[in-house]
Amino acid sequence: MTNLVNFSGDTFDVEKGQTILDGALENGIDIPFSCQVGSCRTCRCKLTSGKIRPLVDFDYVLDPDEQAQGVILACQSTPMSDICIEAVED
Amino acid sequence: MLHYLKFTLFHCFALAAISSVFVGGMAIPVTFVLTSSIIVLGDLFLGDDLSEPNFHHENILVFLLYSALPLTFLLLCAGLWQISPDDVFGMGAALTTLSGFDFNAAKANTLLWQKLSAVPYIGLMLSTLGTVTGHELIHRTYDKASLVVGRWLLAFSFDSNFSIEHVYNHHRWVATSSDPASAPRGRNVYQHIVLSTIGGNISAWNIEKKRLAKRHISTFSVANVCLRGYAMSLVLVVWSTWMAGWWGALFFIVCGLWAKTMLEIVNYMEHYGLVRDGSQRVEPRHSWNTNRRISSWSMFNLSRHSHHHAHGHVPFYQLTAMPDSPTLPSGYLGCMLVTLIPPLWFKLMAPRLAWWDAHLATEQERALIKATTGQD
Repeated sequence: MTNLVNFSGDTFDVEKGQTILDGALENGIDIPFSCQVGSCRTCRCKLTSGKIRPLVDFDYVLDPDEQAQGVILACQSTPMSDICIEAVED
Repeated sequence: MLHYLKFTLFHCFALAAISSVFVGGMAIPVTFVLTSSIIVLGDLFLGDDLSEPNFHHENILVFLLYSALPLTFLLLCAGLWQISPDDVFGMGAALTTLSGFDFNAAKANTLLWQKLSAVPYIGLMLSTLGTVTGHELIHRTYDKASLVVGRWLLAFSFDSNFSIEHVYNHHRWVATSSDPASAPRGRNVYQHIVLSTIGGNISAWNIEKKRLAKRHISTFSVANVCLRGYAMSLVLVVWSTWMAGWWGALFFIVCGLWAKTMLEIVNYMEHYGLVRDGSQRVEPRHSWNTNRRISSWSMFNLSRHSHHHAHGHVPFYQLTAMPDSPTLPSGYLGCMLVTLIPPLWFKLMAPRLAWWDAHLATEQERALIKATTGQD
């Protein structure tokens, strides 16, 4: 089973249980990343539609207002439906 | 099948430790020396395991990790029973009935120095049984059961809060001055044990405090994961006191701190002298790797550290060997012993660091080295 991810216009499939970042890298989509354990914030994306399952407690790395705006970590999120995400600029 | 079985070397060492501590007498120091020798000499002479098999039964491997908790607890209980003047919980009588060997008589004949030899032995084994598996489990942040079991395993070395510091700070800042667990060039292991222990606990506390503040929760509340971590170790101190009195508490505290010391020695050698600009991605070159067989098998591939840091979410059974990564002089226990003699450690690492600077470091990293050491 896969879910479709739309990342700023590029689309790719992510397998069940796979992270958005792993799916993107497998499909040659360039999402910035570094630590891959959910601590560096490099892979922040904004979820504009759909549902994800967080693999870490986002409170450790994301502010409440960021989370309220839909900011997620691509390396620590698995899609639970088809989703749309955008890059987050610093 | 052999690739599954190789990870049970960990359990063989655990069962040998538990049995010898119950049997007492010369069995304790002899098994301690024998186990240590097998690890050090095995790593020196048995070469590398570069295999990268596809495992289809992940549940077996996860079970092997979880089984560390009862084994670790049993090892502590064996130690506490051995130093207690009583036959606590009738364990000696029960074992005697089962085996025909008189455990209580053997315990009565065990000399003080033999009992004391259990301290470094159990300390070493707690760092393997508790810390290695605890480390693997606390990386499974998506699974509450793994986090709970992992934090209890780490509680045996007073280090449950490693689950915060390691994931949210060490992996973020590895090989930079912002990481208390990464040792800069020239620092000796004894300095590192103290600095990393204090720095790691302060770092975990600050991360947790910040998390609670975001949710407007008091730092001093049951929601504080750090406080709960310290409480978990306190439960083990109380248990030890209950089993073997004040000497039991002292026995566990010394064993646990010994295990924590072992972890800090491992931290020391895993990233010694390597540098990174914190804004750059973590790469395999930012960790010292080893593929020596006994270390890899008995430590659930923790030794494949280059891949672990470059891809921190990868479970131990999918870690690759990466033989071109910066490589330690030998396996883990052998290197740990060498770090205890700082001039020898510095001498062994100097050519490896020079090679790293020349062949693996980026221009930016060479500039960082020059800025911190004055070397060209």
